[in-house]
Amino acid sequence: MKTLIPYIAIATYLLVTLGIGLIGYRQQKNTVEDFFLANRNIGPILLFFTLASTNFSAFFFLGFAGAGYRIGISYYPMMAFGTGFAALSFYYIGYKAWLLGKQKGLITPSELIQDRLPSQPLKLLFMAVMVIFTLPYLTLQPIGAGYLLESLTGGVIPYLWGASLLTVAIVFYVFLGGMKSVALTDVLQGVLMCALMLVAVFAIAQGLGGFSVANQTVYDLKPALFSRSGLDQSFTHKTWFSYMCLWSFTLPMFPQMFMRFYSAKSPQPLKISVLLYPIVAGVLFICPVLIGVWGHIAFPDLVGKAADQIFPMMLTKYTSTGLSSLVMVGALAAFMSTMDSQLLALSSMLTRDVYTAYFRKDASLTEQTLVGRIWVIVLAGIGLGIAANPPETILAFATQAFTGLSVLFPTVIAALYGRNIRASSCLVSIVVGELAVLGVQTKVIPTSWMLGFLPVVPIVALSALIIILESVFSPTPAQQPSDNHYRPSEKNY
Amino acid sequence: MSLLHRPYFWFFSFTILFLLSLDFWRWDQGISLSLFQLPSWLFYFVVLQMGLVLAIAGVSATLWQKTEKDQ
Repeated sequence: MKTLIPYIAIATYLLVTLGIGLIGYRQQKNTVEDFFLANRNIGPILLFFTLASTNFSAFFFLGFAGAGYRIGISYYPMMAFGTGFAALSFYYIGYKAWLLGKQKGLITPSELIQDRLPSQPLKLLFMAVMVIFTLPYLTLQPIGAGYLLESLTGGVIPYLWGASLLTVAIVFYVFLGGMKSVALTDVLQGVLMCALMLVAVFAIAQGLGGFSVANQTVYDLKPALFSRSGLDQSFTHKTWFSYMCLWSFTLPMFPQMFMRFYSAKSPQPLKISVLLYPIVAGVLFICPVLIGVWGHIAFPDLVGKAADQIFPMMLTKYTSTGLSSLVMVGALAAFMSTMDSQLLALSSMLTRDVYTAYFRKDASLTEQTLVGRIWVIVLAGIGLGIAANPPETILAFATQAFTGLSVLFPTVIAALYGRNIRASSCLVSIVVGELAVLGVQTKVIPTSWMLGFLPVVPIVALSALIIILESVFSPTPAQQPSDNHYRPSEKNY
Repeated sequence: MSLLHRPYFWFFSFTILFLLSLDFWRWDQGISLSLFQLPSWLFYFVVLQMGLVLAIAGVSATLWQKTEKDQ
């Protein structure tokens, strides 16, 4: 019976998720707004959970613990405060996006950019950057799920089967119910993630003799884990500052997060989300970090990537099979809640910004919804195809994704708040920024040019400077974005 | 227009909070353990996080509300 527990836990969770997905399908109206944005009718609780679940992925479950092991307790405030601060963007970007989306029927982030700064090339480039830098992260979810299921079942469910099982389950409910199904399943997944993470930290603490005993034991072993700068001086002043900036620049630029701004029923759900975000981050994020720090007690010699396994290793050592299976279901929920949102966001952009814009301008709403569903299958297939034989560089590329997306931040701020902004300056800003990201990744640009900061700081500063200088020194005033009249076919480039 | 309804007040407030999160003045201090044998500097961030929540509640109730009414 004990050996069946992981299978029962996985099967129960997947069946419940699919059932909830079917509820979303039954409420479907088969329109574009309904499929991609749940008819812009998502209330406060649903919006908060779908934002949090979409954002807190496998990185939260596994990555935080691994970082806690490698760096120490200092990782916690960097993530908790950084994420809480980044949630402010739900106001200064999210509210304006919601308002414009409602007024003008915007569906994708790039449609907002085109509305404010009419330019087809800028719209396409903005979309392309979002798609290119989201795809690697999408692929990481089935990769992570494959390894997790293989580990949980002792190899009975092989890696590729696990990755495929997860992908098929997600495609099922996203295909059928779109954003409604995604949002409803995100509530289940969010509750599971939060509850099971708290269960995990208390259970492991109990196995170690309590929080105080565990912390004192680690401190006696390696006091540097409790230092401000972390083990081996992991953080410097400049990298700390960089991380604090990174989350604010990146979080609203995830297309799956951006589109949730459009889907709110009113400003109220956004307000509640922006308030709850730092509270939940503050309470939850310490859990996996502490588990990682405590990992030094039982597993003192893990190096590099091996530390990313510390969370399941600690669960296996200090909790029962049943409990560790349950917590791993929480990790699966984290994977799925991010991947379903990524699939839907990318599908919407490829449907509206490519198919409808260039191939079928007169496509009916039903046709657009059908194409959106087909894109969900295609993108899931691409993700699974890469996951079947993941290139070594995918993780490296994925870690650059944050910086690549951050390059879009100055353009979004300029579009929403700027005066005398030209689409051409934003185009140059994005091109130069992404070339800089590529240059840093390929070492064409030496790390020394970053002056000790993470690349995101000088690159976003450069991208912003291009837009600011052009707006200040431009001899002819740019055409101001119209707030009352939507003309998607206008070009001003 | 009251101070709480001015964008610059909130921009300044959140900038201060951000700068406080950098806390570089204490990085070279030794480690002392506090509640649950956690380092005492960690509780500075707990307080800062609470301050962030209060500031967000404040901006939602004042400036954001005013922005909605103006729209």
